[in-house]
Amino acid sequence: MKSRGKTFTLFLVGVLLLAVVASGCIGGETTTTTITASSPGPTETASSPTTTTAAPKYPITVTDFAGRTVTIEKPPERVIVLSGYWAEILCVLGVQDRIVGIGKYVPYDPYLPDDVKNKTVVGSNFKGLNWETVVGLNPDLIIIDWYGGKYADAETIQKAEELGIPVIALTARTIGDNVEVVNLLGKVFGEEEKAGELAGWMKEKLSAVKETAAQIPESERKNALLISAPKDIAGPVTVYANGSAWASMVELIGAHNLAFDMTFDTQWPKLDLEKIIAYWGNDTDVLILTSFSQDRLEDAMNGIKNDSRWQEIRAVREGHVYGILAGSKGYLDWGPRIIVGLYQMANMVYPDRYQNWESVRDELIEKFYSPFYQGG
Amino acid sequence: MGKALHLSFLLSPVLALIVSLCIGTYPIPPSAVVSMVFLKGAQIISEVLKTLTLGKISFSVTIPYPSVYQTILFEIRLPRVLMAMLVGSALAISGAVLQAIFRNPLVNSYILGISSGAAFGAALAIGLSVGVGVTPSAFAFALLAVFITTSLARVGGRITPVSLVLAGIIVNAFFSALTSLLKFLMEHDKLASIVYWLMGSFANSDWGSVRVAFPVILAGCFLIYSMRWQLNVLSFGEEAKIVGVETEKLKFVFIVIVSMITAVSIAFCGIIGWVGLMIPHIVRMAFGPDHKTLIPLTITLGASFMALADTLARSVATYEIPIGIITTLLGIPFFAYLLRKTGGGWDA
Repeated sequence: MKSRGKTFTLFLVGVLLLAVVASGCIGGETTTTTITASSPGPTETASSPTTTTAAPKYPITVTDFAGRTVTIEKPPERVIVLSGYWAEILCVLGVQDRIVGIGKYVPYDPYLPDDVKNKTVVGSNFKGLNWETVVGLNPDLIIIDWYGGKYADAETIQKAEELGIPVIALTARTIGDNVEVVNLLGKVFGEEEKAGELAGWMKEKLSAVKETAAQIPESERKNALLISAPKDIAGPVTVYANGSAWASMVELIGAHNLAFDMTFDTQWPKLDLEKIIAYWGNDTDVLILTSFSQDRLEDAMNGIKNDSRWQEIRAVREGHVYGILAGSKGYLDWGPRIIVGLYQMANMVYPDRYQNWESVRDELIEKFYSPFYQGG
Repeated sequence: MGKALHLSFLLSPVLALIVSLCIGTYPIPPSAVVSMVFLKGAQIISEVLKTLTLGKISFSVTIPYPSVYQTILFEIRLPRVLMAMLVGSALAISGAVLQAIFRNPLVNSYILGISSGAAFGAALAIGLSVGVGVTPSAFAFALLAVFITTSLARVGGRITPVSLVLAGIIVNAFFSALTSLLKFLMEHDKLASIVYWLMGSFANSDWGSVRVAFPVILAGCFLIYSMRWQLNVLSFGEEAKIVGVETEKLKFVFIVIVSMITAVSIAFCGIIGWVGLMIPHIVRMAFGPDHKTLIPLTITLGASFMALADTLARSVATYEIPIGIITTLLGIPFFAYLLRKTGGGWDA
């Protein structure tokens, strides 16, 4: 049943690729480079975007994260951006005044300045856009998330192409993808220098983590499990497994993600407690919980620590349960802030080995976010 | 032959319980499972004796197995299997009762609007993140839906099978539309949890849910069992009235009981289709429509069927298979065979 699911997924991917080729979207000379910031564990087969022309002048052609070739005729002046984390990059590039429309959840991103948050809301990555509003804004670029066509992403691209509006689809299957996004957006907006500074800083922080991770002796390599803080601690628990960018962070910091030892039909398998105990109960040194809500995170941590069933997980018994906040209120999120999230996780698992995550956060804010971030 | 089958249906929950407790992802040898169950029983008896005799009589029982075995067996598997059995018998008996009182072989408890009401209640609780939990909200809206259905169906002081089915369709459509609206407005992570809940699952059963569901469902089943004669009378239809039975009052009592036990089941485990239709028909086709045998056998067969189906759901793959798929796939062949062989058994 599992292998059939996989075959089906492969088939779908194949069909998707064929469709892209057939519609003439892919140019002849699309090159693929491996992501520089690849972690040792998970497979890094994700399509990484590279520009096909090195010329700084417009028109330029780029390949986005959906594998589409997009031609940008002139510097984008009227941009719709659907996600807060990518809008943060636009702010770092100093082009936030070109944003005319935003996604439904962008106003909740505390890092964005008010003039961005107050722009017209046009819809969301998940349920699609209100096209009358979109056309009314007369955009010359739409920046969306790419989920492999799982939500309204494929529809949005198709509709925008029909209307002749260029779309850049972005995603992050690994941490390195976030660095590539910065470079890509720098190219699109003609702000390569500013993008290069941010990307360079992110890469530097990443390689510092990798260097430290490489020095951790095998005997101190901890086995970790990253799960979503469950609403009901008796119920099924979502485990971040192979294919999730967050799960790969566990490997990146020098620990071993136990979920990578098994194959599942999704990168977010939902497992009941018996399965988690049976698969990893005795091997787990560290259990990391994550949630978009601080309350949920704290409730789940307290619940798990005080629950007799969870004591069968060694990390719980030995008191190594940690929580890390995800989303725009925290640092486990796509965009530049994920570097802070990486150090946060590294500090939890190996408290003495890594640079203090708060200083990394301060660096990011001081160097790149201070021109627009109003504090809080 | 008939007697042997009767007895095996009646005793099937015991076997289903043992089999379900022995199977799971965590490997525990069946011999350990059986002896742990007996030792745990002895432990409980000693506790009870100790309390009753104020500590004068007591014997100590130690369970010579690793603590992980005990946690898996008593804290995770046992409540889940018990929950499956309770819900299985509740859904099956609800179907049997409703088919009898409305004299309609196609009726099950979902036709009263229970499922769509419960679904809306759950979606509301998940979507708005209000203080009320999913279970109470689903329960409240399930009861509200039944109330609206029966009020709509009551034309001229009586509920006819046709008016009930029509009222059920209206209420189902109404709450389904409301649920769709909520789903449309919901954020995507909440949407995922409501979709998961709607598929039905026993994965979040623990002793807390058993503690609530057990008394309600047990009391409901016992009440229906004690009134099984009345069900026979009701299934005569208009003739019952002629011989002086207050059919409307009786029907109302049955609907209240059925609504309670179904709503509790759905509130904890989501919507699990087919059992309420299938199990009573299987028993009816095998033993005829007499509720004297139909009711107890529906309870036991529903319990063992659901326990075994859930065991498959949780142990076949690394992920959980939605229980509704299993109940349908397992039940259909047997149901089809009986239908071909007996021609339905409804008018037998």
